[in-house]
Amino acid sequence: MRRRSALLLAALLLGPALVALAGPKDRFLPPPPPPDPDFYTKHVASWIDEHCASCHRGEGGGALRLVESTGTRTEAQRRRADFDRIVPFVNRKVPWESRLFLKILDAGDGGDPHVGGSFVTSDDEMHDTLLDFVSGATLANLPPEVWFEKSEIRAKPGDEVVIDGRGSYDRDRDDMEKLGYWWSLYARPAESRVIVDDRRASRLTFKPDTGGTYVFTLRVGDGKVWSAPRAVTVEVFASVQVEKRDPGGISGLENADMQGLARLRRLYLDVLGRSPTPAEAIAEERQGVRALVKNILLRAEMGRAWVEETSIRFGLFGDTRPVSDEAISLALRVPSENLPPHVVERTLALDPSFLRRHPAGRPLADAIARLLLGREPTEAEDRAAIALAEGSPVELPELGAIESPRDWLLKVMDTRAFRRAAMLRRLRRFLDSGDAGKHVGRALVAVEEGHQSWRAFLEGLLTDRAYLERKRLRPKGTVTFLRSLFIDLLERKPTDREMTALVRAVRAMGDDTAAFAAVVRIMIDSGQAPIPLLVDIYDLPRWLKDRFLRYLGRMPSKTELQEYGKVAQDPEGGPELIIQALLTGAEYACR
Amino acid sequence: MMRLRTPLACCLLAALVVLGAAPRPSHARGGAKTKAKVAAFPEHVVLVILGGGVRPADLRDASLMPTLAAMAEEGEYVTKVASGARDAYSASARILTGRDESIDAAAKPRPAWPTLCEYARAGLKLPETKTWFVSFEGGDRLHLAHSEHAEYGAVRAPAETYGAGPFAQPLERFLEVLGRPLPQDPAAWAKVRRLRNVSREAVRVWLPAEVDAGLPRAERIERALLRELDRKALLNRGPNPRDEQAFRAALTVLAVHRPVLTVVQLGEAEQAQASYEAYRKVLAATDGGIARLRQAVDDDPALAGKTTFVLVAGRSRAAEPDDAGRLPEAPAQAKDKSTGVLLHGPGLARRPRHKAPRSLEDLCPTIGHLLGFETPHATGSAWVGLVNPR
Repeated sequence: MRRRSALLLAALLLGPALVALAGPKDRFLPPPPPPDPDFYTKHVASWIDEHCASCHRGEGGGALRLVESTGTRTEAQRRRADFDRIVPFVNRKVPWESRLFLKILDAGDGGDPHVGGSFVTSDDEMHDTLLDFVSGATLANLPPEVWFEKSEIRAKPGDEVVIDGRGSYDRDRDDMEKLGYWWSLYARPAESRVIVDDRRASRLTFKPDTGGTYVFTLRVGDGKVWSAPRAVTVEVFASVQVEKRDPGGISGLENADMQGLARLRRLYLDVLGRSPTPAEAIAEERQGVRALVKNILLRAEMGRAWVEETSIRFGLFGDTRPVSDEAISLALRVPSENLPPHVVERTLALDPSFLRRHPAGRPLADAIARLLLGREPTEAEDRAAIALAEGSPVELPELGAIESPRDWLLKVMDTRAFRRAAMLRRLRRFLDSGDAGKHVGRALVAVEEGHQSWRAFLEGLLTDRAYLERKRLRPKGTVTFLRSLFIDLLERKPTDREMTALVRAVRAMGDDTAAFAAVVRIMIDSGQAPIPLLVDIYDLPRWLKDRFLRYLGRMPSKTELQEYGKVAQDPEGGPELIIQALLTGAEYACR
Repeated sequence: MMRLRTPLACCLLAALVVLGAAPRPSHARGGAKTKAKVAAFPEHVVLVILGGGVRPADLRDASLMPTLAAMAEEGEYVTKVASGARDAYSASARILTGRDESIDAAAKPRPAWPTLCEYARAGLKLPETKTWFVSFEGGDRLHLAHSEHAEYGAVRAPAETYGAGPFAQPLERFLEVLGRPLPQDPAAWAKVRRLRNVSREAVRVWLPAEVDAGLPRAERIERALLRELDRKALLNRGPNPRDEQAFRAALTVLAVHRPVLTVVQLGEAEQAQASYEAYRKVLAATDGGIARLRQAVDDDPALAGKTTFVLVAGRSRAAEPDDAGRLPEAPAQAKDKSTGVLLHGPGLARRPRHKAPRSLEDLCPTIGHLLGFETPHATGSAWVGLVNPR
């Protein structure tokens, strides 16, 4: 299936520090032609009748009102009248952001909340038909298709990278020679000065000047209509290339420096919210602590992990995921602009989805007190919330007159109490509650002094010996546990859809560690986790040590080696049970 | 004088036993299987609504429903409870709201007045996961979980589930990709437990107290979740597949959350409309489901001796099958519309007194009385003669 919808941001959120250079709108291209009524009648109308008419034909269907069926109109006239009502919901400048399209698109593919639910995913044929419709397809001419052999490319700084767009094609096969190309540099690392030399070339060539992630987009036109953009991500790392190993086999971690490995795991788990892959661990464990901390704090993945965890804590996932441009670009801005905690939380709390998730009334009072201020709501706040829900302005101590729920949010987030609570939450990511309390004053001063001072504070915190050599374990938490599990068992990151499903399920079980254990069992039995058979393990003690290093970051004790060895060789046990025991034990639930 | 008194007392006692009015030993009120000490009031209530219409006599027919018959023997079986509801949805609404309100059952609206679950959350200040509404069907069937009442409503709503269960349901799309786990061999649990303990011991001094992974409590929940998820869960070919799903979900809920109030809404008895034989099979399977719920309660030290079961048939059915082999809904006469309620567990009076008239609306305040919360908008009356006074 063709995937041409506005999924650029998903690609953007991968990789190290980068800055967004432009929105997905290409100002230099002419807008696509208006939607075609004949294309609508032939390919879209019956689908609209089937999926949208029951709510939108008549009262109560929101902004889109399809025409009422009356005896005086023929079927064709009615469909033409529907078409006229639908066209205002098409965004000609950015067709893939048309409300018509986003409202019926699955949230996991970037769709907007819709009372009637989502009807298509990016894998459905109708997804492409609707995208063609909003892009100005006619019965005689469909938009061309962008095609890359690889949508993710890896390179080293200084390499010449070539991205070939010549695989793109005209779907009607009649305008192949007229095919035009339009390249845009969507994002590049903060320190990079790379630009696109020739926007109209069929092959893009560039030399990355620094490590990080670059995102380019290409649109192709057939002289009549331009395609939606498609992104290609170029990840540039100066890292050591590691030999590719059999995923079920020995990873090579036994040769790593144990202290370095422990530090690396701590930083990955605390900052990136996941465990390192064996390849990452081998490549980075010998780096100096300062260089490693600097590097990790600059990665877009750091921003993504923090924003994802905060969004989930605020309940902003699934149907209530953030929708504002500020919230969507937040993950990128965190590392590049070194945003402090109160800005991150403020951006998410001011997203319209926050008030949808925590509507005016008691739920809002609860959310403001518990999620933003880290305490229970007071009776005055409860009363104020109910009054606000009824439309009456209220007065609250320290905040003064409040006109609306949004006004309340704005006033709360201007308080020092909120800044302090947000900072404490951030510091607790790295420190125990007591230690976080000790550092919070200094951290707030650092934020006041500017983003360089805040970065220096964080670097100081994470390179501190007391932090790096702390032995006491702390619970991983739901999101870090799930991300680590995907890396450790399936050797990949979870998709947004997988994460949403798992968070919902684990939350329904009260974020219990037993729910984690059940997820481990699902993955082990999925057949997708590379687990060797006993006969494939030539050196059992070595394999056991390797699994301890991978999952727990330490060597097993003598007793552990004996006991695990016995079960591994037991006909009713085996490697599968070893992995289950390691990943469902208390130590793996901690970081 | 003493010589005279002793035989007199014996005669009186014998007469009382014959009349069934003698106080029974307290352990029997909590179930013979329960070894734990029985409290004066329950800490948990499991309300099972047998929707779809059941003949009251079937609920204590030992050949058909042996578990219920035994529970009726140990607990209290209350007969002649007026239903008066025209359909199963209205009957459940009456039970849950404690009010006799006419309702457009075809539209299955949310009740206008608070439900038992809302009262429990408000009165006992419970978090969402301490009250559960488990249904045999999703969609608008779940509307009975909470009302649209301004003071209660969504903010006091219970957690709800149906179908695949509270854990498996949000995971369905994920399970479509990764598949369901295989049922774990019982012998494997002992091995995994041993390995987890060895590793836990190795880092014991550095572990935070709140991390219980690998401990018996966590294993109990883990096993419950895997039972809900495993591939056997898909093999559901019994006579009451949707009710079976509800039982399985209720078992998970009991194991994981130990709710104060669990409402299990069943509905497969409506198969009687098509076949009396199918109806009997449904009831036999329902009995098995209730036996599993009871076993789960008895096996959990936190629930055993502290949980009262309330089993109620929302409506009744005709006394005999018709010529076509169907058991239609009861005729319109009030007498035939009466149904039965079974109470079993702590909180029941040692000398129960049954006072008529009784109706479905009484269950809401009665359960409120048992658990110790008010049901201010319910119009029914608590069966104070049946339960311990507060």
